[in-house]
Amino acid sequence: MKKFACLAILFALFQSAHAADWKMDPSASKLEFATTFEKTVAPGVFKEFDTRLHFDAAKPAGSRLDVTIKITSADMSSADINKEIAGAEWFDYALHPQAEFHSTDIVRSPAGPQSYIAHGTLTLKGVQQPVDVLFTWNATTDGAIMEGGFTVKRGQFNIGTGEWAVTEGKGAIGADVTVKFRVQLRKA
Amino acid sequence: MKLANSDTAWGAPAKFFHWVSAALIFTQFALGWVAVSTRMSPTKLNLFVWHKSIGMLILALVVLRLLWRVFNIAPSLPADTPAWERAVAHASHALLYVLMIAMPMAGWIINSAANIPFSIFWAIPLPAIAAPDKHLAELAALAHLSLFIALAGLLVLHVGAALRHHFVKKNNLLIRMLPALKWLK
Ligand code: HEM
Ligand code: HEM
Repeated sequence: MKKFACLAILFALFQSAHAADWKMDPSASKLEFATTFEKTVAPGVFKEFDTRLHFDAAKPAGSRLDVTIKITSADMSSADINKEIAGAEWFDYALHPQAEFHSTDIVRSPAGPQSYIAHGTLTLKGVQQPVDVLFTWNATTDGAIMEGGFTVKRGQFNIGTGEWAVTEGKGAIGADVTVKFRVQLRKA
Repeated sequence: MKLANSDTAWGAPAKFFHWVSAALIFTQFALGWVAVSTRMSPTKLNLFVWHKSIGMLILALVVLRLLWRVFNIAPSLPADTPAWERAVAHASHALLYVLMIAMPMAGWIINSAANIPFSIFWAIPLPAIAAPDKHLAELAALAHLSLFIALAGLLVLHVGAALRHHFVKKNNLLIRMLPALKWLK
């Protein structure tokens, strides 16, 4: 039993020797979201966010992904809409200025050779929900590009409360919010 | 049912355009004010979709109407109309057409500059004709409001003139714009 534990530790060490720590290059990275407003697509971005990653593309087990998103940096390119989403019924900037995603369970995805799934937890507006983030990994000469997305139901995070909770019918804001990202990573 | 206008009468399409536009424009006045004064809610968003959609419909109608108008003659004014009244009638009608185009155009600019996602009747996405710009949106809203005041004022004159022809001058000017009587019965 002791021997086995030693082996396991050795194995883990061996593995982490290959996995690298990655830091995000904010100027070359993008985090976008889109919802529907009166049956019309309404896109937005989070201008400030950060990604930290401990990852080996060849052996994703033992990886770790940590993303922090400055919710108050949301921009839907409309002064009127930006003012609305800051309120308590929507993102509630005053109480919940930041969202986080953490995953310690990154696995290969059957979608393709460079595809992975990060099973993790999204904390948004104080609510924690399990979220699967699908992404592709492309090594470049000066780092790597991580690209992907996921879809969440805004209702699960109390985004749009009261009469805004309605997601069907004319005046409704759609239930689904799609999130897309393209992150430029450099070895830390 | 006569289609083309003659020197003495309006054809059915001209009457249709006139009264449908009139009804939609009065609807717009009410909708515009109610939408602006409603507190932020899904209802307010819906009121605005109705307002903007009907406004774009008016714009489409006025384009068709003007095409119809230029390929047609218009009935002449009663023979006893003094020259200055003719001039005022023509100028005010031209101005009504200008306002029927300018109002929705100003609205379209507000919507583009404010960058509010919008599909006409929830179906046809309206392309932006201006880049997102808070300042421009405010300017266009001021123009939209000013044009509304001008249009409302001109309509008081327009309707007043129509009623004067009917009740004071006792000519058939209003009657000839009304739908043929057999429609009304
Ligand atoms: C939003 C409301 C209205 C608009 C925008 C409008 C616009 C116009 C325009 C542009 C013309 C000129 C037609 C042409 O020469 O091609 C016209 C004619 C006329 N309008 Fe209106 N109108 C409105 C409402 C009304 C109302 C409420 C009345 C009646 C009470 C009315 C009575 C008339 C009459 C009688 C004519 C015919 C003038 C003629 O025979 O030369 N209109 N209208
Ligand atoms: C003939 C067509 C139209 C008429 C008569 C009309 C009339 C009005 C009126 C009376 C108001 C309320 C007064 C105000 O605050 O300005 C208003 C507001 C407004 N309308 Fe229109 N409108 C027309 C077309 C449109 C179109 C086509 C759009 C957009 C595509 C539009 C967008 C707006 C907006 C955004 C407001 C609110 C302005 C603000 O916040 O100050 N309108 N309209």
